[in-house]
Amino acid sequence: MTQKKLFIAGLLIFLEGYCVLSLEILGTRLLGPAFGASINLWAALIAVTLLSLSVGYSIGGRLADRYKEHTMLIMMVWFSALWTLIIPFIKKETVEALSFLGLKWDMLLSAALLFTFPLTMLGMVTPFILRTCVNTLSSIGYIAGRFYAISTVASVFAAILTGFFFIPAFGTFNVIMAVVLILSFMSLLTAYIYRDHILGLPLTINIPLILLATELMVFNNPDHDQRLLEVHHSPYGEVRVLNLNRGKFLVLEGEVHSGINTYTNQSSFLYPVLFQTAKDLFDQPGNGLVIGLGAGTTIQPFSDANWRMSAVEINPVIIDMAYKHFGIDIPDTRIHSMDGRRFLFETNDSFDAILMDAYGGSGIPFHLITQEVFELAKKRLNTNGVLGLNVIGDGWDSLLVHSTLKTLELFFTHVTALPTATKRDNIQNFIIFASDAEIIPKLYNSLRNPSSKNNVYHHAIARSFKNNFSSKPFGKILTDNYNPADLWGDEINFKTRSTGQKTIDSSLLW
Amino acid sequence: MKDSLMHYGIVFTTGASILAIEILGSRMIGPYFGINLFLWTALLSITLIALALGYFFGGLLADYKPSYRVLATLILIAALWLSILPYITEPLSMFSRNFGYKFSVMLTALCLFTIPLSCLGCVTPYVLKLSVHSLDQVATKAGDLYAFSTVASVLSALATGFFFIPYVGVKELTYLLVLVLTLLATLLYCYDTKQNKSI
Repeated sequence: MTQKKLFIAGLLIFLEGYCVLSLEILGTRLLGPAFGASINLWAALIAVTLLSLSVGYSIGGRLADRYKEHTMLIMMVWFSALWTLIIPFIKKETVEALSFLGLKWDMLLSAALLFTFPLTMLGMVTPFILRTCVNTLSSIGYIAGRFYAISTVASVFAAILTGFFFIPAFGTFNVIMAVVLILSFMSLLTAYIYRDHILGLPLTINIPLILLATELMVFNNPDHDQRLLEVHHSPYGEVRVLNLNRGKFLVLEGEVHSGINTYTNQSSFLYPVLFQTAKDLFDQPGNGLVIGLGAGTTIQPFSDANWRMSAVEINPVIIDMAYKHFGIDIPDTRIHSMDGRRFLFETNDSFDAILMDAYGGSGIPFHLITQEVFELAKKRLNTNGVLGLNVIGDGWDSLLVHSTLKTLELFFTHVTALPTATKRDNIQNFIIFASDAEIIPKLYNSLRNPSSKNNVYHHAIARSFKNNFSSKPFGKILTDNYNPADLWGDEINFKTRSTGQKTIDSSLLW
Repeated sequence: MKDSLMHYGIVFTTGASILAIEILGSRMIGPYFGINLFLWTALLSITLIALALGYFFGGLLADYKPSYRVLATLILIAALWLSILPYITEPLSMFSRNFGYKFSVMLTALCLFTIPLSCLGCVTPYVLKLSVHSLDQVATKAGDLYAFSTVASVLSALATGFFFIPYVGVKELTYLLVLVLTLLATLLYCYDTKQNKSI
C-alpha cells in the first residue's frame, strides 16, 4: 500500500462517514413534516442508521475476507448513490402507502424502507478498505483505529454543516443531490484504489448519475402553489405560511400551529382568546412576557390593549414570519430570539403575566415544564402576577395536564385549567392559569362587562370557565430529574396527527 | 470461543454505555442551556470527537501494549469520571454561561463528557487487537465487533430515551452505568491476573 493510496483510502472513509450522518439528518428533515420532528422520529432514524451500519459492517467484513473482487465495492457505492437520488421522489408515496399501519409504524417502516439500503452499503465500505490496507498483524490496531477516527470526525462535520448551514442555505432537496454527487465520486475513488484508473465500468455507470443529479439540482422547482406563501428550511425545522380562504396559517413541521382570520385579524383558534382573559385580572395594562411567539396571536391582542409586551422565540425564522405575514407591531428590541428558560434566568425584568405558549407542534420541550422552571417563572412575576400555559392534552383526564397542574401547585395557591372543547375525551388545548390571587371569580366578573358580550367568542369563553377544573391525585410532579412529559406529548402529537388536519390539503403541509 | 464471547460482551457493554451517556447528557445540561438544536449538535459533536480520539489512541495503545489490565483501567477511569458528573454539572454549567451561548454549551459538554467517552472509545480497537490472531479474519472480526457495539448502542439509545430517563431518573441511571462499568473493569482485572498465572 503506497502512501498515496493510504491517503485516498482515508479520504474515502472520510466521505463515507460524512454521507452516513448527512443521510441521518436529511431523514429527519424529509420525514419531520409528515410525523413531527419528535423524539420518536429521532429514535427511529438513529435506530435505522445504526442497525443498517451494523449489518453493513458485519456483511462487509465477511465479504471482504472472502472475495478479493473489487467490482463489488464499486457497484455497492454506486447503488447507494442511485438509491439516494430516488429518495426525495418516493418519500411521500412511501409514507402514504404505509399509512394503514398507524402513524408510529408508518414512521419506523418509512424510515427503514427509505434509508436502510444506502446506509447498509455505506457500512460495508470500512471493513473492505480496512482489508486492503492492513498488510501485517502488528499494524491492525493503528489502521483500524485511524479509519474509525477519520470516519467519526467526518460525521461531526456532517452533523454541524448539514443542519446549520447546508439545509437552511440550499434546501433539503439540493443537499440530497449533493450527497448523491459525493457518493458517485466515492465510487470512482474506490475504482482508483483497486485499479489505479477509473476507466471502463466505473466511469460508464457514474457519469450519467452525476449528470442527472446536477441537472436536478439546477432545474428542479418544487410545484408552485399560490396558496403557499413561504417555505423555509430553518435550523429548527420546516416553517410554512399558507394563505387559504379562511385566513393565514403558520405551519411548523407539517402541523398547523396558529392562524388569523384575514378579515377580522383575530385568531382562528380559541386558545389565544382564552389567554387574553388574563388581562381582566388586572385593573390597568401591565407588563407581559410571551414564551413561544408563533404567529403572534397570543401577544398582539395584549399589545393592542396597551400592555407592554416582550416575547421569546427560539426560531428567528418564525419571528420574521410573524412580522411579515401576521402583522405584529411589537418593537423588535422586545422580541428575543433565544431559549425561554434561559431568558427567564437572565432577565432582570419582572412581569404581571408570563404566558408560556411553547408546548405543542412536534412535542414538548421538557425543560419548560418542570418544577425548576415554574419556580424561576414565579421569581419573575410581580405579586399577584399570573402564569399562563397553553398545553395540548388528550381529554380532561390527561395525565400531562394534571401533572402540570400538580407541579404548578407547589408554587401557586390558585391553579386552574380551562378546556377549549366541550367533549371531555377529545384532544384539545387547555389554558392553565396559576397565580397567588384568586382567578376564576374575577374572570367570571369580567365576562359580565358589556364589551366582553360583544366578543364573538363570548359563549366559548364562558363555557370554558364553566368547565374549569383543578388537579387530580394521579398527576405526577415533574422535575428536571424525573420528567416523562415529552414522551406523553409525543403520544398526543401522534394522535393529533392521525385524527385531525383532514381540513387542509395535505400537499400544502409537507 | 469463550474468549470471543467475552470480547463481544465487552464491546456490547461499552457501546451501550456510550449512547446512554450521550442521551443522558441532554438531560444533564438541558436545564441550563435549553434543549435545542445547538445542544444536540454540541453533544453529538463532542461524543463523536471523543470517540474519534478514543479510536485513534486506543488503536495505538493496543499495538503498543495489548493487555486486559490496560483495558480494565480505561473502563475504570470512565466509571470514576461518570460518578462525579452529578456533582460537577451544575457548577460547571453556571460557570461556563459567562462565555456566550454557543461556546458555553460546547465547553460544558466538552469538559463533562470527553474523558469518559474517549476512554470507552478506546475499547473497540483494543478488543480487536486482543481478538485477532491471523490476517485472514481481520475484516470479519472488525466488522463483527463494530456491528455488535453499534447494536448495543441502538438498544441503549431506545432504552435510555423511552424507559430509563422518563421512568427511572437521570441520577439513578448515571449510578447504574457506574456500577456496570466498574463491575466489567473488575472482571477484566481478575481475568488478566488468572491468565498471567496460567502462563
